[in-house]
Amino acid sequence: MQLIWAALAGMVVYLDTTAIAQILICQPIIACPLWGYFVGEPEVGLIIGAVFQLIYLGNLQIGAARFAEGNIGAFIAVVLASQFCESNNSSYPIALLLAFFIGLVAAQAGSYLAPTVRRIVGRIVPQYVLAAEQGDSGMVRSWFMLAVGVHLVAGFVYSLFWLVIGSYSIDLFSQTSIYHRLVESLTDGPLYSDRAILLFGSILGAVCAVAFRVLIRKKTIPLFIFVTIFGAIVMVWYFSHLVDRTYSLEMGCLL
Amino acid sequence: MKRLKSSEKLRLIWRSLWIQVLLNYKTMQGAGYLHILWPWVKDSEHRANRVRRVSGFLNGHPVFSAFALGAMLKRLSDGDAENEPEEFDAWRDSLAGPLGMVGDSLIWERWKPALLALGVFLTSFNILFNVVTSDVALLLVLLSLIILYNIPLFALRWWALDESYEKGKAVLSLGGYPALHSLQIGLDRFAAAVAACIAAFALLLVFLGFSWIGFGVGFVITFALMQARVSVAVSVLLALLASLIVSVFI
Repeated sequence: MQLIWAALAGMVVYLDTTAIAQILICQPIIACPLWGYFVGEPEVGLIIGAVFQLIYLGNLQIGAARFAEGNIGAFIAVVLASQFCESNNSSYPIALLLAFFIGLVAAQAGSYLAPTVRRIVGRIVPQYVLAAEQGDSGMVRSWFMLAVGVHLVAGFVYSLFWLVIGSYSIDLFSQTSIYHRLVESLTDGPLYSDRAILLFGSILGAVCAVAFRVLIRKKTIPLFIFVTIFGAIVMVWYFSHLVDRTYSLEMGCLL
Repeated sequence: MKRLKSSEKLRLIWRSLWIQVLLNYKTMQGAGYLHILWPWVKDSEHRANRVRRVSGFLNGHPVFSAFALGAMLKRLSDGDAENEPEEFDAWRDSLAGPLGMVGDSLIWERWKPALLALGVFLTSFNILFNVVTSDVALLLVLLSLIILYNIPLFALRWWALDESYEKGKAVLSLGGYPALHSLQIGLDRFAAAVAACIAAFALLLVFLGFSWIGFGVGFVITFALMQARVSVAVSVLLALLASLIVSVFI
């Protein structure tokens, strides 16, 4: 049942991404934490939302261009990760990594979704224009609602498809010996292993690379360097003087 | 001179939120413009002609559609669609390039990524430093991000409808608006400052115990692959794979 609710929420994410309003609620940094709060895993939502947001920061939905459905991918990842954390207490890293991988695949496969929907809508449009020429307001409204329906169904079916596939794959994978070896290699008793810390460091490096490439232009490099140095000094000072270090070190490991 | 009423502008803005629903590869947003202008077109005695004029090919940034809408309404009310149909079509075609380029460059490429990156920085900073402990307060931060993103865009739509209705056929002259260039420069600086905050935060995470080797491998490989025009997801996955290989040797 939760998958149906999640697919409905995924439908809203899809609509706001491509079809209606585009007011930002579909973005990973908004939608993922919201879902996280909804299911009681806010940190999972925030972490996956932040990572996917930076990865797909430069994802442009321009004209006829094909684009990855990063928003839906992120949403699928957070649903799967929170579901896995809920049913399996083997901590975050495995859930995050598996969901991250499935989310990325769903996002990339989603680059075929919008073109398909646009082709279907392309068949509706001539009927819509014809009804408008004839002044038939009822038919104009009906054809328009049909187009809205196509978007609704596309968003719902696509989300549900990946949620079911993802959920089933994670269940199957968690029963294999590879999974248990992965758990062993990523954890060291109650702590994370060096390998897990290296992998999370790698994800951090990768998302920083994507974000910098999108946000920094040649002319703003001096400003970037200046603010980075200033910001690093302020944060180290803040960390050293004002913060509960134990909490931050624990969260640093979790992040 | 006649201006658009506030109620008309509100109706245009509300209907323009649905402009992408009818997006297709033949006329792109053309049918979406028809949807927005339908209440102004349906009762006209030249309805069929007007429907054809406004539903032809047109594509631009959804927010910047307000510029085309105001100008189209003005030209429809002046009877240009009946008097000069071919010229009207050519004029409509000529709007697509500038509306797309300026809108995409300002909003998709600058305002949206910079603001979202700021959101990522603030929420990650909060997880680590525990500044705001209440869940409700953090939700308010997310809500304020949505509001902060949308207020300028809705204000732009409102202003654009007035200005373009006044300019009519000469709507593209608004492209020379002096604030446009300074806005681009300002947004570039804002984006660089946000990137710098993320960089400083990443340095702090490495200082707190994240693997600097992993960070370096992830950063260099992703950046290099993206420079080589490999897709983002593939770049990130290859960077992760490389880190796994590196972890075997450490």
